[in-house]
Amino acid sequence: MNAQLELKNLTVSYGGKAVAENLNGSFGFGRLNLLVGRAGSGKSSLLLAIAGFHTEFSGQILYDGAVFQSAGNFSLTFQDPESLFFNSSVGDEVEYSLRMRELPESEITPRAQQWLQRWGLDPENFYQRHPFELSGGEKRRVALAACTVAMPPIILLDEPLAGLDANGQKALAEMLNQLAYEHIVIVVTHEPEVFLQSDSSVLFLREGQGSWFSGNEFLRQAVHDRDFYPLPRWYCHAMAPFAAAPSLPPVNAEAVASFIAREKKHADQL
Amino acid sequence: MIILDKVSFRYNEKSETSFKLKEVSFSCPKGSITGVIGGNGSGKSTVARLIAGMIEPQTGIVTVDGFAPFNHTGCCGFLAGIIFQTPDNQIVGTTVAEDLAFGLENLGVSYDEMQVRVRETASRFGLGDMLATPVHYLSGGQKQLLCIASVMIMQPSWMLFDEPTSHLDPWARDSFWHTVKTFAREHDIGVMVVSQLAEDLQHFEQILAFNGGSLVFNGPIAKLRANVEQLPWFRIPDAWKLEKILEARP
Repeated sequence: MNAQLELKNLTVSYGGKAVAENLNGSFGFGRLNLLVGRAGSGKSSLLLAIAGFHTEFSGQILYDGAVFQSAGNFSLTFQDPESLFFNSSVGDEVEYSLRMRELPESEITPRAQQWLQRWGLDPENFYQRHPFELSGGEKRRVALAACTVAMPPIILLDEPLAGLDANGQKALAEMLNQLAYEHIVIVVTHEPEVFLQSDSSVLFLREGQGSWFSGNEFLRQAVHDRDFYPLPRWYCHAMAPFAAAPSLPPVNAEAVASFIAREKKHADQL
Repeated sequence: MIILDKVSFRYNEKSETSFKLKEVSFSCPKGSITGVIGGNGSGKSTVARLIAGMIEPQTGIVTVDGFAPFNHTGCCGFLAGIIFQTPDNQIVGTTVAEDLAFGLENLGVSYDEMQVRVRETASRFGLGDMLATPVHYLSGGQKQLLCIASVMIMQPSWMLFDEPTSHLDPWARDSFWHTVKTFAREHDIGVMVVSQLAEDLQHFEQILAFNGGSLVFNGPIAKLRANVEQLPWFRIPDAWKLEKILEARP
């Protein structure tokens, strides 16, 4: 899949004030597209503009070269999506959007069950349960499954990790990485470190401007300069001596440890 | 001092947290920042609600500075102010200034003093130029700051934070901790923070850890760190893990 979601001279405003000006660039398949920035920098507004809910913008949003028709082609999950549950079973919750799209009745349940399975929730165990009985991580996965089951090309997620414990965050990040092979996934997040791979794409909104980085460039800048982006301190501390290395490891202890071991070995050989 | 003596609690109806808190006992003195940790559904938020006096223990006794918080809230306000995870549920005013003033109005503070305290608190939290701003114009992080400010303005003797940093951007997280530490130092106030972010651990001095509705660890952070191998439920933060791996190498 080579289609891209492209922003052309896009300026998003909020209440008459431009929050992100003149954005040019694109979101693609095969990697997560991260959207980061301070509170109030326009991340959510940009997401809503792509979804067609926020119309206060100028410039263009193109999909595969044509103006993006949002209706039916995206799914958007808000912050704390589980607070929007309105059905009394997990199954009904996931089936809802298929039903709204008038899929044949015989296809709905199998497809919903298959999709739950993909999100790591065994349908036999979960289908009839009340959403409120689930743990926080499970609820989040049900909410995301319900939002994505109709398989739209564009998936927009507003802080999918907030409120989850560390294990839940890690598991969810892996699932989202998988999802990126079949959808254009745009993730607004304050924890880019959980997702960042060297090939991730990062759109960083600050002071009304947007800059695009590869995961690697972003990590490098952040290690240099905490004001640029405050990554976890232990990572910046551990990486400070290796600022010149061509590619930095992802933000987890094992990857950092093996990176340091490799660099040391390399230095010894020289 | 917060004391829980053999406190148990279970929610009756099917709710977000249909689990049981099992005979929890601990005491927590003022003067240090206590972290309450545990995974989703471990019971940590329920403990915070018991201390704030929002729910009554079914068995056992909860006291804050010698008073039972559940009865106290009925007559004289909060012994321990609480900040929730989702700021939208806690904002009551239509503008920043109104929201800040709400608690003071209910405590019967005079108009003049209210004005002073609203201004002073707003500027301390970086909301000084937003007093007239309608609350729905605020971003998620700004709303959270407003919630904190609106409780701090009432000067409770304890502050409880239920996952305060989970919706903040990382710059705001840094400044949140700065604010809380300054506040804890300058005022005679006890601070208890419920959190599951590994990054927050570095800010805690004392730890209460919960798992499956039971208190499984109570002590200083250094002790938690030293015994971390024996705590299977605890997900070791990357920072500790890395140090360990590097130390093990020749």
